[in-house]
Amino acid sequence: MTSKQKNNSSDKKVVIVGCGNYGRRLAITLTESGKEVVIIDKSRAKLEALSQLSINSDLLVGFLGDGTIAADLLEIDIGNSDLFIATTSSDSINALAAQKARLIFGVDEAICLMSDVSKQKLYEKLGIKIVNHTEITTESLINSSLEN
Amino acid sequence: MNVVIFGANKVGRSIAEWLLSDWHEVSIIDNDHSKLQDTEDELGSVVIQGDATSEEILRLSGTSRADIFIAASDSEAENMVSCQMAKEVFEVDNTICLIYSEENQSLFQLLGIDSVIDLTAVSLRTVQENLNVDVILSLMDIPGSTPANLISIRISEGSETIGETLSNLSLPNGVSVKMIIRSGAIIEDSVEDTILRDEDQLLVITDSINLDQLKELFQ
Repeated sequence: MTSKQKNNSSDKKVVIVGCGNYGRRLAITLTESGKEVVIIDKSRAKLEALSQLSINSDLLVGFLGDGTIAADLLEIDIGNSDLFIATTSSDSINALAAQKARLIFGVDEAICLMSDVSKQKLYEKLGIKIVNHTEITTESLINSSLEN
Repeated sequence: MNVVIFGANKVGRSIAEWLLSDWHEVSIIDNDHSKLQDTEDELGSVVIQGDATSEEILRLSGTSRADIFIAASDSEAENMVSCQMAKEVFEVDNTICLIYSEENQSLFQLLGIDSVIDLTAVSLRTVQENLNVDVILSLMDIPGSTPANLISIRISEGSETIGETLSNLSLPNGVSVKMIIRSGAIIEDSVEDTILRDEDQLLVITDSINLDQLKELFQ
């Protein structure tokens, strides 16, 4: 079965920045529901750990690079994605990556994972869409992304 | 003026020192305790420890009263967020963000940060200007069977050629000094026998391959 048949909303892929716990779980669940995912991380070890897991490798690509650098984002063909999720451990890095995806590359939906809940309102005021660990589960995020 | 600076590194501290000497009110925010300790020893009690991307710390450091907010930390991501907060939440009129490559220049301008300064470009330009003024300035390419350049060389303070005459120096083959200019006037004596001084300017015709060697000799 191809991804097209399973994914009725769009053919575009999801970009995930950060291959930590959260990014990895998100990538796995998204590919399981038929989404094409590129996950970008600066750590080769983290990407290798991901490739050890048994995942539908047709849909999931790991890329060694920096999700805040335009050249790397171009290389993973960010123009052909409709959802961008920044999940590194740094709130500021996530904000920078998401702003770049949204404003420079015109990605429809750019979302930041935020660990400091107190900053949420402020980040939203800055035009960044936020999720945090406590509020939203991976599953609900996926559902909302598939509805787009 | 009231200025809040994020980043107790060399750049942030130098800006603070300059502003304080001009009697402006300055606060410096940084997360790093030891950097703040050094800053306090140097500049007095102007420091606040904490996360400059958090509303509480920005409020504590008086950002709501600030005329200028300068983000000078080593993290471009944190500089971006703190400047945006200063602008959007605290309505600071003038926000200045330092960056270290041109990568983020246009994005940060798009986000409404008032001035985005690329420190790498600034230092590169300064170095280039100094190289041109102090050592070799290319004036004209001379085409022909063996292409050559007309160049101007300004002798730098530390050059080994100072106190020597051109006839004593072994200049590379293909280099011909045509004229020496000192304090804005052409020296009429023999070019070969004039004792060279700091700041003398030479008009030289040379093969292109000698440029690096000449630069080394006269700088």
